[in-house]
Amino acid sequence: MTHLRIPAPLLSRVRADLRRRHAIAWERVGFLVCRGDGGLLVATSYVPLEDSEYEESAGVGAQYSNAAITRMLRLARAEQASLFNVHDHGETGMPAFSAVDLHSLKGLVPGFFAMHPGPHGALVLSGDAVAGVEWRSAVSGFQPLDRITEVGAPLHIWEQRPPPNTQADPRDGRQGFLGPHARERLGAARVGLVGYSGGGSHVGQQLAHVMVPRLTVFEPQDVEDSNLNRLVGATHDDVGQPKVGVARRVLAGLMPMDEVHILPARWQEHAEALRACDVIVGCVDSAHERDEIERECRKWVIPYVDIGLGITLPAIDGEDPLVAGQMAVSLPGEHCLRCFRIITEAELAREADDYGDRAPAPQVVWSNAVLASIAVGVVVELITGWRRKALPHRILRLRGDGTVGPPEEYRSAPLPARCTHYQMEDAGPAVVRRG
Amino acid sequence: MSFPQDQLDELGVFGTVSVVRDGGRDYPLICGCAMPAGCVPDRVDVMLCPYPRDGYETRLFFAQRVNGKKNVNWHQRPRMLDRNWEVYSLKGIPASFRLAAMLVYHLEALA
Repeated sequence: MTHLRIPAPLLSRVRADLRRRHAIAWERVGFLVCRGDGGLLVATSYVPLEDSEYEESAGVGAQYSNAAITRMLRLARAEQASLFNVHDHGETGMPAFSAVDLHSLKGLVPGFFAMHPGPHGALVLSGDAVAGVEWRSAVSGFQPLDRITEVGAPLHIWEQRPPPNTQADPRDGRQGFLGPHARERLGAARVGLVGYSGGGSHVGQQLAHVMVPRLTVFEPQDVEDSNLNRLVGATHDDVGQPKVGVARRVLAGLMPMDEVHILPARWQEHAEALRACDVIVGCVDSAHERDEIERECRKWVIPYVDIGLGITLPAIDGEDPLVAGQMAVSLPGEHCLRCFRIITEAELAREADDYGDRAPAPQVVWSNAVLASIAVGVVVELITGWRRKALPHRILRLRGDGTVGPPEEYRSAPLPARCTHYQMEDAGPAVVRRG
Repeated sequence: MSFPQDQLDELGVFGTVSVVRDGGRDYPLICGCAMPAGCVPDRVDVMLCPYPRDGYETRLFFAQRVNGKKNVNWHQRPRMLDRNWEVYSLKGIPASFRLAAMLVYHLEALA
């Protein structure tokens, strides 16, 4: 089982490069540099062949020189990375390798194993889809990649195995506007939910109503009396029991549980389960927790949807408490929570100073519900792509006056032109650089 | 960021040093790092974060909790370098210190 994730901005760059005309070659070729661990590869950069590296050939679309192959072999060794040959068949629909493609690749790809243990392979693109093959060793022969994901807004998932639970359901009719393939798309994506409490219980319940059958819930805590003001689905009988018990009861009442993973633990104890998710929704309380989730999501090229609510009690008698929060989407290659100024060094330092001394933060069910509902809408939009222009806003703020909209402060203090906190080239597992 | 070789050599006094890159940053990893006298266990893998993190100027992450002469506030269990770590709250160790000095000051909290 190998799953390859490609950030959408990187795939756009690949397509743009491969569609340039060449003086003597019918088609262009490039190589995706991919890093991975445990069956998951993430594409981190793209290296095109130079114009001078193509040779004239009547038999194949792109014949390239031994110097080009040598350069790619060196690249695999220098980057300690998997290499995937990429070319483009144009048009639309699911592309397929030609017999000539596969014959050429059999002569090329096994050589990469001398430089890096792989897997290595090849991708063929169309205008709207990707197919791939991989070699797991120099002598394994090739096999189709099990899963390829283009990570953007929306997500595109191409998977060998069929999605679960695609039979008709009475609720489909009410969600028909999501598109004719919405059920398959919702079935193909795995959504991770970090935190099943004030915000996460709304998110989980709504995802089950929508029918997202591949769901992974991470929640280590037990239900406390004080949670009953906002933990949807919990009753007095749940006090002292794990919160995931509430999750299991609510979800099982609304959808099949075959592919629902409920983990009564912190996500760090099941990091492989987190990185298997196609979208993560974070419903956590602190800046350092959301910072850590986002780092892991960027590392494994996963969209991160974050909600956060803050209720500020008045410092002066006679003023109202301020109830405000935000939903933000952090997509690989785009602005992150630090760009949005949701995570700041000042807030992290304040948390470090306050640790253990803070009174429980005020929380209420209705404001959590607003933010959670926005997050679920974003997740459904990410997966189904039901709007032609997906996600017009990456961040929406619940303002103190109860209205929701894009943050106004970015007008006077604009976001940076591009994210400087995370680079696509830095994705993938940790690498020992000097032993 | 790569670290000066002399500073990595200084860390070698404590254990086996490697540099691991994660998320675009390099971190010194000291396997089997010697803990201050009286600590149990007496050697633990540690990872030095010589950058601001979680509101701290620098941090020292431990592969497991250590019982030292002094009690420390083990308060987070973060994931970095594809493994889970234990860390105690300790402020005031600046990134301007040499790596070995940074390590010593962090470990001193246990001594």
